[in-house]
Amino acid sequence: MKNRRLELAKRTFLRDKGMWFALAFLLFIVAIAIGIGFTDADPNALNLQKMCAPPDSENLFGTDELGRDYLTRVIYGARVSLLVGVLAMLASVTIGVLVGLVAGYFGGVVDSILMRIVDVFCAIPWIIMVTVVGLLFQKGLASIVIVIGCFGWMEISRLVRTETMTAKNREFVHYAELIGVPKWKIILLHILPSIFPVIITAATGAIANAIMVESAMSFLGFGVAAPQSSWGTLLKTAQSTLSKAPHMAILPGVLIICTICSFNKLGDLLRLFVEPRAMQEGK
Amino acid sequence: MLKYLVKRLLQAVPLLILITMLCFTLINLAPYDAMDAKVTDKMTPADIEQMREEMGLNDPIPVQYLRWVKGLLQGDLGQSLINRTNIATDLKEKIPNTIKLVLPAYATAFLLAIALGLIAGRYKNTWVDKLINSTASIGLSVPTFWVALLFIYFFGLKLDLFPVMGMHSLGEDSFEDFLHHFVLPYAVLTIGFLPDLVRYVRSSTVTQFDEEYVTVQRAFGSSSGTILLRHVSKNVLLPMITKLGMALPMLVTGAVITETVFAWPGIGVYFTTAIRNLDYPVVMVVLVLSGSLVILGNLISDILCAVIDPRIRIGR
Repeated sequence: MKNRRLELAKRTFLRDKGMWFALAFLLFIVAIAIGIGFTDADPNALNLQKMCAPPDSENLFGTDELGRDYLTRVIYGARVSLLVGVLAMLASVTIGVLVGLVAGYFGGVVDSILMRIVDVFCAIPWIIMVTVVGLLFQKGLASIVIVIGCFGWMEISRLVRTETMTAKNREFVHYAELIGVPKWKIILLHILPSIFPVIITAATGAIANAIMVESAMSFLGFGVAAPQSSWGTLLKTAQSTLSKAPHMAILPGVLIICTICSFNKLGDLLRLFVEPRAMQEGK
Repeated sequence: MLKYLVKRLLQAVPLLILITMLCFTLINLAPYDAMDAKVTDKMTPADIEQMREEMGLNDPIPVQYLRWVKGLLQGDLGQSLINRTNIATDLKEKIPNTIKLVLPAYATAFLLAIALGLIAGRYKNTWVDKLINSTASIGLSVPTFWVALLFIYFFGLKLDLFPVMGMHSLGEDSFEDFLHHFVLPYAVLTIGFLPDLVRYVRSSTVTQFDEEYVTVQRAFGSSSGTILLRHVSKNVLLPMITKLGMALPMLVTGAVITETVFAWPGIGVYFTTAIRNLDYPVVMVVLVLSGSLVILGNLISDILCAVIDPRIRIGR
């Protein structure tokens, strides 16, 4: 069973050029985001003689409103955006999996209470929720991660809950209960591994989502604060200098699109692995 | 039917109460309170303490909560801390502005999505489908504000076709002037709504075409155009009604980003300004409003579905 799924996923992967592009792009962007730390490119080096300059041979993507090399800044922005994406994903997956496992395994009153909480969290549009909770924290990377993490877990918990409810009726779980394995051990050792593929799939979606939310928040001015800048912050600056330096709006936007697209694409591939039938019929 | 209706209504009430509680707690967790916006240099600590007492900020939180909810129920939404304006009056002015923008954009996106989705689903795996589907997939990853930036640059600054700020030119109040300002944000918002809807229609069309009734119709010799328009489209449109109900809250909060970029004087700008100024009463009202609309929207779409599809009523 497992092998056939792997084969199917592998075949699709090899056939679909988009997948290749997605994977290559993500590896590339992560590599340069890490790699730029080892070069002497300085994202904060000013050059007041050359403000808002269009692309030329020295500054491949031009300079920004303070004459800083734009390409360097965008790559440093990638660090922030990707870091926020990954950390916020980890936060929301942790909360989501925890809530989903507990609700799904214990059922009954615990389940009802947890699911009502999920309903309440779902009821307020994310953009409202995230900005309001952002008020509670000092501006900065950590608070962005907490805020996005705290409001991206509901879907995951619903998914995990459903999967847990199926998994807890499997024979090996019943057997473990019968021979008296403690409940937390059953959840961690038997149920969690069996729903792992679903979690991974949800995680790729959560990264894409977190990057999108972060860029929107930063664009509205509720996100990462100076001197740090993410792609969203860069676009916010680009808006104010749009008439003088339109080149500043292009690169961060294109990178956001490519990154999110790539994560979505990988998510599709993983979903194919997790639920091959649904994908073949639905698409 | 009535029983189902009452049951759904009763389910919505505790959810609403929970939402007001959550909003109130969130705001009370914030490191500042309504006082901080009023304090000036001239006040002595004793003055401040007295004002706190007068405003009831020293009362226990549950007492404050009950007072606030009582106000909400009586239609008293409180005052903005910054402008000293009545929030209810503000909302009456801002919400129609947002609706003027969101309603046409969502309606356009909805109709376009149905057309494009049906076509893509009908011609699955042909170049038309691939074009529509991959554009929609990429569209899902495009931030609305980026589209807005591009539009502002090309249509606003470069070609100078449309104004890029506000809803009216200063002193002008004509409908033409409004339309002129309306075009860019409307287009951006439509593009923002479209991809998700297209993918939804497409995938349900594809699923419907695999159903047996389609095979039966084919066996009877119906042309695929007839099958699409007469049979498949009906079954695709039914779940779309659910989408429509869920879109209700968007009438208020669906355009926060677009409004901010274009300085459109709607609820989005009102809200983001309130957040920046730590204008708590306003923030709380918008929170509760958007939460209640989500619940109301879900309620409406459930009821609509039950009206149209009797199976749901019996199933519960």
